Amino acid sequence: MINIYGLGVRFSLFLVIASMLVVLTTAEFFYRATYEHEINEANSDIEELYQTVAATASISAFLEDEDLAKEAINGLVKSDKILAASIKSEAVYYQVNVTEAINKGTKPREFVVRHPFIPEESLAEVNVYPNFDHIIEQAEAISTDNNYSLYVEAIVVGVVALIITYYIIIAPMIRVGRSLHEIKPGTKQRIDVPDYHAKSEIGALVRDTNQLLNKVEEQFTQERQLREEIQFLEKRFRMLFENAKSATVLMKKDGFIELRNKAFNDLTEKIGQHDKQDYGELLEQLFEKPHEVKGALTEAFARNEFATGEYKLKSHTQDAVVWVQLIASPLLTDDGEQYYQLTLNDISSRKHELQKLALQADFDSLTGIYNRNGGEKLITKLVSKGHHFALALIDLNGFKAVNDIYGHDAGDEVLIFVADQLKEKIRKNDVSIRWGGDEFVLLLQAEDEESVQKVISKVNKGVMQPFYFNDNNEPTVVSMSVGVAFYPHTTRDVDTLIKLADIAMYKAKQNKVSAPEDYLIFADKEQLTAKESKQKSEVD
Amino acid sequence: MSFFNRYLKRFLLTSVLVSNILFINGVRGAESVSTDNSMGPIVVVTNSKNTVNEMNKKELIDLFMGKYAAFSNGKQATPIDIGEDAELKAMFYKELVGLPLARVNAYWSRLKFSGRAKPPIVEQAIDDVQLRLQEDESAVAYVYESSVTNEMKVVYRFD
Repeated sequence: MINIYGLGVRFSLFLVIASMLVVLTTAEFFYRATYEHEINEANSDIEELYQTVAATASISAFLEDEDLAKEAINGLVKSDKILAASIKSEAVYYQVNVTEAINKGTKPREFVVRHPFIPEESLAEVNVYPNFDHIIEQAEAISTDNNYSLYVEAIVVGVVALIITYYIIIAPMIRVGRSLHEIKPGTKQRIDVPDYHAKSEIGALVRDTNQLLNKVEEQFTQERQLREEIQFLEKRFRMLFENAKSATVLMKKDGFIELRNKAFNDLTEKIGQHDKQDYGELLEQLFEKPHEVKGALTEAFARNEFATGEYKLKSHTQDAVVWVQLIASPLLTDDGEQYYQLTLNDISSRKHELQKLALQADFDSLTGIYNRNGGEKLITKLVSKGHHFALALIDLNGFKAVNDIYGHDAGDEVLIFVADQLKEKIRKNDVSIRWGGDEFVLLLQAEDEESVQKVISKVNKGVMQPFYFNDNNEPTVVSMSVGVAFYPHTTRDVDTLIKLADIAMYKAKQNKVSAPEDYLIFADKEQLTAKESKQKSEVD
Repeated sequence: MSFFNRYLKRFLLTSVLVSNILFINGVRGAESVSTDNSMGPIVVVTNSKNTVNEMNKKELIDLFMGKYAAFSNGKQATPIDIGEDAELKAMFYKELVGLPLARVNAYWSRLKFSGRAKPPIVEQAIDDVQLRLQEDESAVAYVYESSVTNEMKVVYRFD
């Protein structure tokens, strides 16, 4: 029941120890005082004792009667307060124990023995030697008793203090502590002020604790509300994030992905990537051209901007071609950690559409080779890159007839055939273009006429092959007239170049009957009209 | 406990002392004797043949209170008390030692057992004292001055 480390025991122990110390320190003082007191007592006792025999001593001295003197002295020595005594007059001397007393160095009390009938006359002297041993013994006994009683008193005080502190302080504190134990923070529960403690420190403590509990409850309520709000918001955000159509990741600088949404997982699945926590720095493993991505991003980040671009993902499956619009922005947390937020919008379908559109724009839907639009783009590109090339403008002979006789389908077939031949016979770096109607253009990687001739003759042989329509036994043969102009040798102006090639081709067309082997004519610079040469000089 | 014993002792001692004091002093209050009465002053007388002519008070005290039984010349001295005349006796002792008769009696009864001293010899009436003085040369007695005869010699007077 009693906690030996408790306040009560501590307090009582201190009290007892303090009392003991007081007793210890005052014991000597007490002893001194008692000793003094005992000496005084003894002295006064001796005086009293002497008074009892004074009459006898006086009479004995007057009568010079030794028996009486003995009686008086023996009477004195009988007391244990007196060690020795002597009476001395002219006629009588009697002593008991005096030598012993003198040996002990005891000083006597001296009493004058007066004449019994003439008080002014002194007859003898009585010396009384106090028994100091006895007195000291007494003093010691008394002070020991005193000390013992003080010790006992201290212990009693301690015990009483313990009981009082237990009932007044500790028990209520224990009760308060117990009820504090049972209290769940954040609830309406409070501690009751112990009885009779309404105005005590314990009462104050309890009230303070209750106030604290009030605050705690308040705080709890607030926290709870806040938590609910946060949870609500978090749920919403999560929903937003998870259901976002854009693949979004939050990743660390080293590429470790902290957060990802379903769209991202779908995206990686789509390109047959394994589910990983880490796709390298800035998701490089996902892209077909990681260096390009990284370069663009780091450059943008260095400028402290967000980066955006369209990139193709590296696909591990055959048919999935995935293009994304990547939006990357660096984020810096409050504690200075670098994160990146990357959003990947799947733009494959749009890209596909665009491609299709581009194809439609640049290629001839019938033959699959470049159309004029694509060709012009190509020429512009070559020119801008400073390539040297030969432009061969081809016009089919006999095509119109096929068209007129056999119809458009047959004409289409012829066109397809020619385009195939062109594709087939030209070299890897050459390009074939359907310039429109039955006109074709070849862009040849050649600077001299000879190599042009080589290629064109090959092409010519292919085109000249007779071929049969499905339901026709008659072979159909088409020939071609070709005009060639060199870039930049002939002219640096593209329009002029085409024009010159056109003029040369026209020349060849004129000769097609008279000189069929001269189907290939190289353009001359001189063939330019004055106006054209003026233009040309402006260009140059 | 020694405590208790001590106090008991103290108490007993004190009570003895107190009773003593009462005894010694308390009786002094009963002084009704005066030398100034019709019988006149008291004188101390001896046999007229006695060679001692004068005595002093101290010698008288020593004689009547039992210290010596001799005169200053070494001859034996016998002090005489009067038995019947208590007043005279009381007056004499009052003059001599300043004590009432009771105290004087107490003194003697104290010495009866332990002391060697002898109290004065008692003669009952004044006539007996006179007779004794005539017959006994060692006798010393006290009488009223008015009772002094030719056979007596006054050796001391109380002034």
